[in-house]
Amino acid sequence: MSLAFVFPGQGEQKVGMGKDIYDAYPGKRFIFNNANEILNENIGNLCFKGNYDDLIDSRISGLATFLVSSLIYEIIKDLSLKPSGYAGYSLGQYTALYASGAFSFEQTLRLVNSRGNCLKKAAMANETGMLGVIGLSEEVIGKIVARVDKSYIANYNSPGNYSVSYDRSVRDMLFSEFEKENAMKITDIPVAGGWHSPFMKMAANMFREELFCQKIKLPHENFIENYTADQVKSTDRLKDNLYHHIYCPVKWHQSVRRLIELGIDTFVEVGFGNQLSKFIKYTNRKVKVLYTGTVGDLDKTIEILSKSS
Amino acid sequence: MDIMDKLKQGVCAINVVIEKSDIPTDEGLLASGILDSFGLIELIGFIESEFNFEMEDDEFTGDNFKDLTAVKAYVERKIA
Repeated sequence: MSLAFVFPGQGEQKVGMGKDIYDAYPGKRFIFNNANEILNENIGNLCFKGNYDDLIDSRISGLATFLVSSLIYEIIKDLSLKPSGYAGYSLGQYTALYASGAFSFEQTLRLVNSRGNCLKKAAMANETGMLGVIGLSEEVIGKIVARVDKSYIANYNSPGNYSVSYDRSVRDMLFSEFEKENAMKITDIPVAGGWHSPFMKMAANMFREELFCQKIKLPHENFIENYTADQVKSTDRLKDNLYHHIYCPVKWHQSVRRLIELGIDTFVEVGFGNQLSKFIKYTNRKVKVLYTGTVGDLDKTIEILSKSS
Repeated sequence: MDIMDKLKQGVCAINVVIEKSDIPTDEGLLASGILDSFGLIELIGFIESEFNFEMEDDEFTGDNFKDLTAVKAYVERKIA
């Protein structure tokens, strides 16, 4: 079994996310306690007891996503596994970089916090959003976004599954274009802006200075990042890619394929939900996926991983 | 057993609470809740092994997978 740890991004947040795991593993609560202390606010409360509107806020949903993944990662770390690859989806890249040794916990937390603030400011400057589309080919989606002004493919999730960022003025037109082409499912993604598109260039520029002054280490050699869907050879290149990544598409299925090329046959989704596991299975039905978003799923995954290690 | 019968058998193996005779052939597989998105991947895996071909990336479309009638036509084209 050649393992990769993959970390989800925002978009699946729910009030109470990770609470069952937090309760079941009291020895790992320090993740939330440390975060509360570093940021001087109770992120755990927002995650577990807040209201959904708070969790839509890009800063809070980013922190919640990162912290729940980190909590689960701390639990899995006790198995002393040696993953052969790492990747994260969008914000999940920061969690992957923390897990693969490039960033410290505090550094990641502060970066996730700042990145969220920058996205929030950029989202307030533009009336933008995102649609998820299942069941149209890349070629068809590409033609639609080329035709509809102010719309861009933002996430290459899996073949036939894409997210599109749009200016609010064209949302309905896009929706009907997708319908006309016989899409199987079209959904409004619960995020505050049109991520991973030129609408977020302003956010990238606001974040740039803080990102570029970080002292970071090179991650695991098989850390695959979303901007190029490939390995990174230097920390300068890594920072540059993280900067571009804010306003450029997430090449997720391409990243998954790169990990498979590197020999990965089992993906462990470390975080809330199981969206990445689905994207991976749609990309390649021969690999194994394990997920950890609830205490039941986590315990099942731990049992499987313990037997195989 | 014809293609539609085999497809329904595949759906029943994935969604164990649905009866073969109750599976509609012209309702959206995802939209009607017959399968969730993991179930649909399983169905694709079932089709690939049952009919011995691999789905190409650009073939996962509503035209081919919207409902079982579309899936049947897709399989027929693939094995022709």
